[in-house]
Amino acid sequence: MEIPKDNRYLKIPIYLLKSVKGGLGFTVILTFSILPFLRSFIVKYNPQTVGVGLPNQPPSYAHLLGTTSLGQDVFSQFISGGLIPIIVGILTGIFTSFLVIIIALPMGYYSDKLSGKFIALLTDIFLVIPTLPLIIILGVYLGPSVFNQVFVLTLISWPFPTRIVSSQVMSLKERGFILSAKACGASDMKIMFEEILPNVTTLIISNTILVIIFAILFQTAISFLGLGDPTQIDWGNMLYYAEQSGAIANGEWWWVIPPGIGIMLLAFSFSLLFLRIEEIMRDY
Amino acid sequence: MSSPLLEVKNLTISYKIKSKIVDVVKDVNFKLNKGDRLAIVGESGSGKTTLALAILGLLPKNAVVKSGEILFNGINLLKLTSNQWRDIRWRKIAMIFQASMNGLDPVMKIGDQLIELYIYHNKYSSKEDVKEKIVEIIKKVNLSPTVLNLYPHELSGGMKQRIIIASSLLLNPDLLIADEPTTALDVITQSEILSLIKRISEERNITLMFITHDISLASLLCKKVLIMYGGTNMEEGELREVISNPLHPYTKHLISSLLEIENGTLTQSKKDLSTYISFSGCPFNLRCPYSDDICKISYPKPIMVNDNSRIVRCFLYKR
Amino acid sequence: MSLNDLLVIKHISKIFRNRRGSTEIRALDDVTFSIKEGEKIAIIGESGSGKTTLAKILVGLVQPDEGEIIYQGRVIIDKNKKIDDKARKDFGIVFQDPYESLNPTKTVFDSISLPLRVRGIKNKELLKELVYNALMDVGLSPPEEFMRRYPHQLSGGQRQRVALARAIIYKPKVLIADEPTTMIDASLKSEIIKLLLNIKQKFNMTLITITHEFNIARIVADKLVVMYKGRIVEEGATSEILKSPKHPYTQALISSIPSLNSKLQLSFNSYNAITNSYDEKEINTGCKFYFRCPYKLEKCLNKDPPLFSTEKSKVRCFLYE
Repeated sequence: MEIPKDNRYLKIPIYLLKSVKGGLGFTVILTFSILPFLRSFIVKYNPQTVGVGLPNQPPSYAHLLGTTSLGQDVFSQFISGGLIPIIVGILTGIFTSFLVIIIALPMGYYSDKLSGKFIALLTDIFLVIPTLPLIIILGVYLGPSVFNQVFVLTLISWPFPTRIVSSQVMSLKERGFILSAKACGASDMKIMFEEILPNVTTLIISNTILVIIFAILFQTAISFLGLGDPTQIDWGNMLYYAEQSGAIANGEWWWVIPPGIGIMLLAFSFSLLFLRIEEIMRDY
Repeated sequence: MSSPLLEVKNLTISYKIKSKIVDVVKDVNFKLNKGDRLAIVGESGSGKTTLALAILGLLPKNAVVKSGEILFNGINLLKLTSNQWRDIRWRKIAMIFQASMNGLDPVMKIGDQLIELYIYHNKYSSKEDVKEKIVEIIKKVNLSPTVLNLYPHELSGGMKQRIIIASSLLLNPDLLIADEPTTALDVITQSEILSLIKRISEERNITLMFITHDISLASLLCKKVLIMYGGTNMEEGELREVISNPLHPYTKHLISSLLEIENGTLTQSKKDLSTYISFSGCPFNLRCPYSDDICKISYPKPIMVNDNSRIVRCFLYKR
Repeated sequence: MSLNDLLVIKHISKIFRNRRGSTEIRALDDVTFSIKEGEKIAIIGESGSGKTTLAKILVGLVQPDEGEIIYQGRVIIDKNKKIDDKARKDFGIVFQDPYESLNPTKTVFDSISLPLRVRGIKNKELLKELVYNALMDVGLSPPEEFMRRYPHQLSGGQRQRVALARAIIYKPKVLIADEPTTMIDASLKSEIIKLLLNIKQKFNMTLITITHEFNIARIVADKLVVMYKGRIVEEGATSEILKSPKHPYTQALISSIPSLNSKLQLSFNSYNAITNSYDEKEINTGCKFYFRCPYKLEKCLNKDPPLFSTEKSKVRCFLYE
């Protein structure tokens, strides 16, 4: 039997990136993260500058994806617009996974005690709160900003993966190696964080990616409703302004389709990562 | 001498596990005559369960039969279609598995399950006939017919296993394969179930293939034994003889460690011997005190010894 | 029970209830016995006898509903008291399933050093040395190589040894082995048993083995405690019980042991094995063994027999009143 020199869990990123799915997904995400910073090398127009071209123009040599109703260059906006969804998505994923860890571990571990049941009740309450109304209300109340978006999205994302992880914790805590750890005198905290947590890490990672996908989609929705940050350009914003100026009714597809495709590509790329991680968990 | 009921010839089966191909059963040969009671004894990794699954056509999707034949009354079971299997499974060959007890439908009464089973294999029988047969078989396994009205969760483990045995005998098969049928049962029930199986197979002249890791259990039930290790048959012969005079080094090791426990004569132990099955040469060569160079390179072939009463697969022996 | 008993188990009872409280299982019912220092004792019983629950109580994993555990003259566990750390370090336990006893995400080193790290030993060099010695003690050599491995790179027997190393690393006074050979291959059982006995000898431990195999119990124990459905039904010196088992259940157990030695088999079979057990109903009053007993008397159905003392052993059966 082969004995590895290093921790086999460190190999996961390598397996992830070395594959078709993983490599492709990662490349697309990386592209949309870096492009906004390279915008000036690609397109000379700033995405927000008004009047760089005639308004509502279809794609041309000067403006590869045409112009908005304010004469802004759409291509420039398209290149820059992916950054915010990615940042919001990833930040939401990170904060949600912290919450999941600190809530799901005790919830599962103490599931037969009052404390665990109380946490479960709280989780269930948050789970059934209707998400869209909550987003709208908080969006209006807190005001537009990227951080508020992350806050709101984290708030709606944490219950679902928490339940999944906590039920895994519940079944793990009955297993032989946990009983042995208890018999050795290990404290509850030590058991939860040192013995149980490593066994749910892959579950948390794959759920986090799902959270990121949904966060990206919801972030676009928030922006689309006009609750996003108007000082920044993101694909959701683009769709908001496009909708506001009747772009769809006027058939100005060059303004509407690129951000739509952008969001789809982004979500799809994260999905590829998710699928690849599932594969790795299964086969290795 | 009539032809054997079951004949396994040069059977090699491998599994594809996580991009590796592993030979789980390698070059297995044996014959089972009508009325025989053969024990197949092996530890974990010996391939015995895969062998049983192959005989029943129940190999999982990632299993590949690399070579060999399994002849049942001359028909090669490996080449049957699922329709053909329907005629054979349960009617000609029946099985009792370790986890069989858990296979009982929890929401159906026992009697109904047995009726359903019978009718599935015997479409044209009348309900009265079926009920009669079922009551008969239930009594045969020492259960009161009242159990037919109960649900599985109302029965103890021993009772459930008797139901499983009854269901396997329902259609009067020629061959019964029992794979660790008593592992989950307590020792007392275990010995009752084994005596039951022995008695019924004697009465009905059913050929029995009893698969276990415990050779002492085998001695309660069977006359002949096949010892498996690392995927292949290492030794074969009359059970009593194999125990009193083991020929293969693995069998010797097995019998002596079991006798050590029974007689309470524990000798000084060496450190943890590698329990790895060798992939080159004889599977046992890493643990074998008699291993020589040839054992590391060549795969031994089975040889008949002692006036053809025993078969051994070991380079120590010549024809 | 005398003053120099190391461990006294006194009137321990444990009831498990299902969620709604509608079903009650008496896992342990008024279990009492004592163990002297350095003794080798085996608790024999099958699933449902309560033996594993008793083991869990001894190491503080389960709290008893009644009764107390007295160690070195002090009450260390009762229904209100959770086992304290001072006493806990004197107890080591190895569970039966080697495939479950190790954390799959931890190396052998991590698993074995856990009892040390839990007690505050952080010095890496010291930890390594102690783990090294423990691996040598259980026969896993070379230790440096085994330390780095993960459970999936070990065989069942090797995992069992690692679990044993973890149990003994803090040099416990009492070692509890719960079915140590049940999930081990036949040809390796004797190795594990030898290992247990060597370790018991070398570190002067008190060994409690829990098993359902009489063959194993015979070698690892001087004293036997036979349990059935949560109660002790017979207790005494191993040689005495094997020579002349008194309780009908013990007799049935012994007669059911399959043996390689055909002469041995015959002598075992001379006891009256239990007849048809198809009426295994639960019984609330009277002897729990009533329906399976070939010698049942009428009083056995109504009255629960207490533990009677005979000359050399104790039996819970009206036949010995």
